[in-house]
Amino acid sequence: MRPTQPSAAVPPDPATGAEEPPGIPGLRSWRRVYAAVILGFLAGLALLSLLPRLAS
Amino acid sequence: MSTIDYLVLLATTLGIAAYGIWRTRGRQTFENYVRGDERVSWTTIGLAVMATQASAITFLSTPGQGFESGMGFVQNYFGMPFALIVVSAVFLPLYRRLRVMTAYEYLGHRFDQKTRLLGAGLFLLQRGFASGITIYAPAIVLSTVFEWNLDLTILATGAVAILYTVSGGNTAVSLTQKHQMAVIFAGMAAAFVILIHRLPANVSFADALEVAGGFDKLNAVNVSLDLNERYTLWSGLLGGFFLSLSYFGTDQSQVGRYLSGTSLRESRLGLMFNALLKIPMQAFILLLGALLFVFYQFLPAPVFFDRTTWQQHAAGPGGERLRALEERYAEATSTKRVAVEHWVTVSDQGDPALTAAAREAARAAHAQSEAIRAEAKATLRVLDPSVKTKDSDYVFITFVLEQLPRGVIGLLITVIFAAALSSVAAELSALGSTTVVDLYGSLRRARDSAPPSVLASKLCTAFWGAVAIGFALFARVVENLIEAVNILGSLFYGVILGLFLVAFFLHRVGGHAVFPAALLAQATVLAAFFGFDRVGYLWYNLIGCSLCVALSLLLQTVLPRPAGAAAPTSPS
Repeated sequence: MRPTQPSAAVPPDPATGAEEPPGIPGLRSWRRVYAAVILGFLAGLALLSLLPRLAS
Repeated sequence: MSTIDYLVLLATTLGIAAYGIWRTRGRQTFENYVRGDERVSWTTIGLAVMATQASAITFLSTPGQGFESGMGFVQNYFGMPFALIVVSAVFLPLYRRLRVMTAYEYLGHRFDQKTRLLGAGLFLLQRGFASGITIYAPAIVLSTVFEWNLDLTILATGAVAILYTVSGGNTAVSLTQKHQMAVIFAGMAAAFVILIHRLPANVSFADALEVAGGFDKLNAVNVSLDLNERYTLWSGLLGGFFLSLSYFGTDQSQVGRYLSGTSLRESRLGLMFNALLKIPMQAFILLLGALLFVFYQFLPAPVFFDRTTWQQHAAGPGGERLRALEERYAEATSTKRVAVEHWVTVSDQGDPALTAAAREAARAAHAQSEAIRAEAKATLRVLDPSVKTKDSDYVFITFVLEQLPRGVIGLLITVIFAAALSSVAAELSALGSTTVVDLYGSLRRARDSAPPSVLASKLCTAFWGAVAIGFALFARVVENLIEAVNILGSLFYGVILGLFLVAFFLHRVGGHAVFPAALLAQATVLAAFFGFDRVGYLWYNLIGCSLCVALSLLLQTVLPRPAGAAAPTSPS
């Protein structure tokens, strides 16, 4: 999944030229990736919880 | 092991090490030796982060954990995805923006040199000891099983790791870890497929899962609020979060892996790769252990999985008691096998009442055989009080040696060495980098602004390799060593994490407050541990971290700001 492009707010990363929004750097631009990771974790947790029932 | 197994082991292990040296040959600068050449993609970062965390003992012990206690251990990793998100969102952009080579260099930017040296010193102290254990723990198991010389096993493992880490630096570590993880995945997948294939013809994969579930081996999630329960959803989420945040955010052996990325995006993707895949990987290894348990319901299982130790004592004075117990255990497992086979048969017929009755009969037969196994361990302990009777580390290796075909045995032993080397190399690289950048570099920079030489970096890495080997060679004199190192880590990790949390989130706190706060917090943790050790050692992570943060806030309020010091600023 590609992260959305952030708006310019603070000076860009000198190494990469990437720009970050204010606040916690990267939280806004990568929020869909982080949300996908949390959803993946919740799906895995549900599967692990149901494993004994699925096996019987 | 046969000749072909030794060939697979030596060719793969030395081949990957030689590849790392060859790919990083030629002119090196200090920066690309320590940080890496910054051409590393997210797949390499993701696999390198995973390889650094998964040591040899992960692949020896975790299947045994699944065999003994089921899949509940996976909960320990539940806080990790959330910690990796915080590291990706907060820690990583700041490290990259300041172009730091080590995590502790950031503390120097944010606070002052003495706080940087404190963070680096605490890391070197605990990681220096831990690297010895990373070599020692698999060496003790492999030397016992194969009757190899322990010292030579330690020296060979350490020497290979030193050779390519010193030669190629951080880039060689990441490159070799990628291939080592490929070997590890291939080996574990082969073991899984062969295990399923070796089950009796009338036992399907679904039947095996049902048997594992019937013996409570598939209970992966425990929502109990009982604090005495070792693995629960809540302790995994909360404790696992703090442990992972400290490990991935502040331990240079991990920070060095993801800072070598081509860009911020590649580093983040590498971390998210682990956030998504680490729990499934651990669950897979634990499931392998649970299925090993099922496998040994249908085949004769040893009463004690450390066969070498058992046979030595069974042949010695008092050995007749052990041999008698072995015979009783064989009879009990034979009875149990009949009960489990009956359970599988009636289960396939689809009658719930008959299935439940057969399951209870199998469980009762299992309880009887386990009672004999416990008696055998107790007898062994009476005959030789120095014997370690926890044999779960030997379950998987016993299966590998007794059930896998030639060549595949070599592949699985390579998995163990690959895992050991990948962790040791990352640790040595981190210890060397921290020593040369944070200690030697900052002391030298007082006189000379040029960066330290590549030679100095190599010497520091080689020095820590020698320390790790030396500690591993003397490790056998320390009783319960692995726990001792875990305790040591817990005593220091909390305060290190506290330093970084203050740096990232409490922008008004300066170095004049956080430095004495960290020292006071560390002293309090050590006094609590040595004075009245009443809490489980994992809690010292939380205590150290909370104390460091709270005392920093307090001292920032009461201590006067040093004359000439600028007002603290936001790091972002």
